[in-house]
Amino acid sequence: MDDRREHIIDLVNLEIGFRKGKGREQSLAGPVNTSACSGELIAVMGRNGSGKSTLLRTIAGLMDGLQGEIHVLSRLLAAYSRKELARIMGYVSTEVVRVPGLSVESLVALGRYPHTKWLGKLNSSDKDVIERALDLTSLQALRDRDLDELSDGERQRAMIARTLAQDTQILILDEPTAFLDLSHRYEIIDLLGNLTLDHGKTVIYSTHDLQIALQQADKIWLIHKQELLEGAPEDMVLSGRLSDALRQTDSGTKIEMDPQTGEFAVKRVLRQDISLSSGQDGLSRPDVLRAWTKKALERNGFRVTENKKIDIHVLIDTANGSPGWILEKSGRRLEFNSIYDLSLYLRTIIKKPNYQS
Amino acid sequence: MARSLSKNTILFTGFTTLLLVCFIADMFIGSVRIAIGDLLSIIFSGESRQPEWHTIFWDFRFPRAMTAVFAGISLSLAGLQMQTIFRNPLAGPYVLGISSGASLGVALLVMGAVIILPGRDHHFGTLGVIGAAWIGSGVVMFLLLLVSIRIKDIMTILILGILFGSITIAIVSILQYFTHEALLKTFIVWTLGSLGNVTREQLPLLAGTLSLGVMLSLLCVKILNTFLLGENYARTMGVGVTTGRILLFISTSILAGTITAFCGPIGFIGIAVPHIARLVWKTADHRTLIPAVMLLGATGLLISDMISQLPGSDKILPINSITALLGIPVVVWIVVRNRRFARIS
Repeated sequence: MDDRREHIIDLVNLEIGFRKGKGREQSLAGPVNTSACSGELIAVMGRNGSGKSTLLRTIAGLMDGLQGEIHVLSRLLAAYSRKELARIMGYVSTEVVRVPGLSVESLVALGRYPHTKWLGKLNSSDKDVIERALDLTSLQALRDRDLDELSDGERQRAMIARTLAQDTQILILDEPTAFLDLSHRYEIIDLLGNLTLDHGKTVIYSTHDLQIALQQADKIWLIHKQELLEGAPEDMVLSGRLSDALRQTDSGTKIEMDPQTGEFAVKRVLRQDISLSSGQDGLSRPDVLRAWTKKALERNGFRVTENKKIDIHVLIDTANGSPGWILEKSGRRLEFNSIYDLSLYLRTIIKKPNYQS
Repeated sequence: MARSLSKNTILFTGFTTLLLVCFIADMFIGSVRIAIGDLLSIIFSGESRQPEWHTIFWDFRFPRAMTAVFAGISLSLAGLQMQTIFRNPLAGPYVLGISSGASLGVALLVMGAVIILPGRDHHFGTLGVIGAAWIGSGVVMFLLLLVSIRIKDIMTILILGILFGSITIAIVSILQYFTHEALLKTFIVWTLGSLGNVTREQLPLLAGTLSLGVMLSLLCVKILNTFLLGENYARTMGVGVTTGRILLFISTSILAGTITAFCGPIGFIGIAVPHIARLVWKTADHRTLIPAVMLLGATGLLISDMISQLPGSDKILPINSITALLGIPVVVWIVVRNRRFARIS
């Protein structure tokens, strides 16, 4: 491996887990050997309970590893004092922090604490850093608001702003996008991505959001069967490791990853064949219309084929300027105005599975 | 920033004035009427038309008002620290079991002696009671410090504090069962609380001890602010959580333990005042809240003392009942009015 980038964090034979007292240990993963470089956005993935949070907390110095070493900027993590560490590593936990009377600005100002004296008095450069943190997280308009008056997304931005004010090379975030809606999830990860690109920071965050990680992360650390697998998101998809690790469920429900898009879907049992065709004229996006119609047919248990001999046929009719669906079955012809109506009907004609009585 | 600064200046000036007014008013009130002119001449020239007024003022009213100020400051500050450390709006100066430790000390002294040495005449001076209470709360503090070095989880410490308290109460009940009435009364009078036990000579001792607690608190002002976000955040902001916690426990024990030793357990001031301060100053910053709770606490206890004197009568009500009657409605009002105060955590 060619390492031209500066190593910020090195994990050497690290084993993570819990000490249960009396020498008993529960190991979650390890030995882990990997590193994080400057300017890198790393998404930590894995199933619930695989040890994502434990790994992050161990790197942040909030708990001890069972074995092995962590080096931060080429120095042993354990050799740092709390205060030294606070100046190079910031942490955002999953905890929802609600403090009555604490404004966004005061929260962000708390981030300067590792840099101030005992009373926490802020000088002008501290104030500049706070302003920049508020700017980067688009929180200027909310700076006087109380923390417990914010929405989940705003609060998460404020917690990140506090870490930015701490002005550290490394940012560790435990599920920063949990509780957030889709657009806010993209917004937060985009912000983290910019921090790595524009400011050369090293950001490590845990997530279940495969789609966003695939698009934004420089590297994925995947914890699977007590091992940490790593690589660019694309490497992970191509090698099949991501789908291997993430598709298993406890209940036996089968989920499959689409190797083209990286999308996971519940694997359906397709019970009956159906043919699908579409008119060529009319609406501008026949491909899109066909793709979504196909999805709907599969959701209802039909396998879509091109074979015209099949008894049931769906024709997408775009002649009138608005889409319509025509179902031909045994010589009968039915028209539908929406996929919903079509689905309702399809569900009445699909072959039911034979349950053994 | 400039606006909030001037707002704070106004608030602090206003409440300091209120404190001074209450302090002076408190010294007027008592079973003997002394006119304002006479009071002023006692204070400034040391002379009075009646020599016993001099005694009443310097040996009773002044120490009592000063004790009210000290107790208000100490209990409110201790309560603020406990609410922040435990991130619990109902925490107060006594959650660590300090008052139960003190009552066990007093109960052992007052009622235990009769079991160990029956038949003798037992008389206990104020100093004996103070000493016993101090030792009792000191032992509880020591146990809790041992626990907090070993146990990292703050909720476990809170639960252990409550359980320590319950055990001491159980022992106190057993002692009460085996003791006779006269001694039981001595103990019960102590539990009712009184601001009148501190003599003028003891005031400097009280002030000195308490200022240690206040200084520790000021030393920890940054730690307190980071504790608002919980211990993980405090750690990642460079705070030594265990050290900070121990310093604050010691501060709380000095403040609450000393006041309990001298005045008995005075309830609810320590829970209510920090809430009022947060509401009035609209902040969570301990750099503002520490002086704010000290001002409000002193004022609150002076007002409670004035009410307990029942102006115009020669009866005195137990201070503990007054602080409960004043404090509980405040807590209820705040919790109901502003539901987010019910979920600091």
